[in-house]
Amino acid sequence: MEQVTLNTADLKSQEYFLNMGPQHPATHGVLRLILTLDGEVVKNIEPDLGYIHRSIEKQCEYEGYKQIIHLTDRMDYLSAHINNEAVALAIEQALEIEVPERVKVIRTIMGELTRIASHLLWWGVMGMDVGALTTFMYAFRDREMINDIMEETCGARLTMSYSTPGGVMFDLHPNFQKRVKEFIPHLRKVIPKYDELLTGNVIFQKRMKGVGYLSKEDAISLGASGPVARGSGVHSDIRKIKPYSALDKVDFKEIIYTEGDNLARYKVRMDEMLESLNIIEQLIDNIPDDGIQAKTKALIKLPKGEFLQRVETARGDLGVYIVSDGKKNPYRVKFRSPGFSNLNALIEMGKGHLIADLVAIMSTLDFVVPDIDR
Amino acid sequence: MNTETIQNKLAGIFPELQFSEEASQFLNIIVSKDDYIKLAETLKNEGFDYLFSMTGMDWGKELGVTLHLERTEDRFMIVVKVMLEDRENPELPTLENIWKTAHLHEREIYDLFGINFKGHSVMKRLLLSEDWEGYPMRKDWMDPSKMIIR
Repeated sequence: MEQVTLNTADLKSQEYFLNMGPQHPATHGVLRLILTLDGEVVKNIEPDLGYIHRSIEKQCEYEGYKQIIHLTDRMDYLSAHINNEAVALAIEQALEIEVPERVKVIRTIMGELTRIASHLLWWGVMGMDVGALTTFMYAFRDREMINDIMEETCGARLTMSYSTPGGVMFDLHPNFQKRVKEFIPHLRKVIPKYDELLTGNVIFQKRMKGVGYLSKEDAISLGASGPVARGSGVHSDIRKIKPYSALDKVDFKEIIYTEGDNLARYKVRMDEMLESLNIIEQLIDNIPDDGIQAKTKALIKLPKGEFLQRVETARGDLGVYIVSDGKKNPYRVKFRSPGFSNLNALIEMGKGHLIADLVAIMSTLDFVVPDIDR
Repeated sequence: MNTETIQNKLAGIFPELQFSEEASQFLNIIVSKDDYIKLAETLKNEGFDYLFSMTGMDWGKELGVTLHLERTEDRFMIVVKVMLEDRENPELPTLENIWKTAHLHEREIYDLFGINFKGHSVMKRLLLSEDWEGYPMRKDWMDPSKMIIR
């Protein structure tokens, strides 16, 4: 038999392309990344968006202000309440409406519950992405409790559309306070267990520590916000910078870590859940009783001008920018979504990492694709 | 930083800038296409390190871009507007090298408004498919399927 010899001098290394998504389980939705690879090392990332683009901004130009709120649920559906609140606040700011204190407190409590639910889902999926399947089951069990609370009061579990210009849609359900007070000690009890289960795990730590480094300067320049920016040491919590609703009346810490790696972003979200519980605890027993709706006209027309409202969703800095020409529908609406800008950070951070690490990095960025595509 | 200091400083460097605070919470700076990139560089050096958002605009006659810029140091925000008369071939230099976040924002504006950013690394459609014709966020766009404009 003839001996086959391999002449290695003739072999060349070549870069190649790989499609990750749009149906990849780790992209959590329909995000497509076109990867340029050298072996298993990522050289470049080019996102291809639009698989779930509904042109919400264009639709807004043909809808009345009250209708716009219902469209925003469908952007970042895990922060639906906070999105609604942002639009309601923008309209109230334009019309100079002062909403009742009760509305402010309700909105803040609901917003923090939403944030916890969103972070819980993220935590479950985060574990799953790095191979720890149990976390998903635990997280969904706890998140279900929040969904039930939401369902009782708002009539919907995810897309609440609970805030309206000048107030909220319905008053709180009689069970609301009781159920929230049951939930707070429950989550306080389970989070240390979750830390034992996942945070302290050696394999998990090795996947997280030092992976996906983002410097403070880059985080700012890339437009990163929310837990992504705060994991890199940027003071960026809109709840502190420009408090809205009842957030100026509560005492809470802004969670900042300076390491800038996966683990830092992970820790920011874990600590934020406890901080959100603190906020809810301060408000739940002192809900004022001065009505749930300020007086507004049936047909809302905004004065001529430009209005910007920023809120802190679970993913970061959401901006609602309304340009009005005085008519019953806006001239232009821009949703500056946190996910869209955070995607810039993925492009920067992913370079030089292995594909498996890219999955972990993507997980710590906590993308919700409809929020990116709008 | 406050409105007066930045306005005086910029008026000294760019005599043709227009300033306005009418119907907005922030200082609005209207800049010509020629001064656009130089103004952006100046503002970056003044500490405006966070490009909060980049909004494509169709003002009816002109197309353009609205920038919301913020200093992370003291969270002072200003608005920069640039208007382009040419609707056939609107062009602007890219801000990618000044604020990295402009990378995706400019691609979105190119996709939906058709403004071409010169010097951008990947000037391709982002949200819509590559064979899409027209720029749907423009005011003169027709909606043949009547999905949005009824």
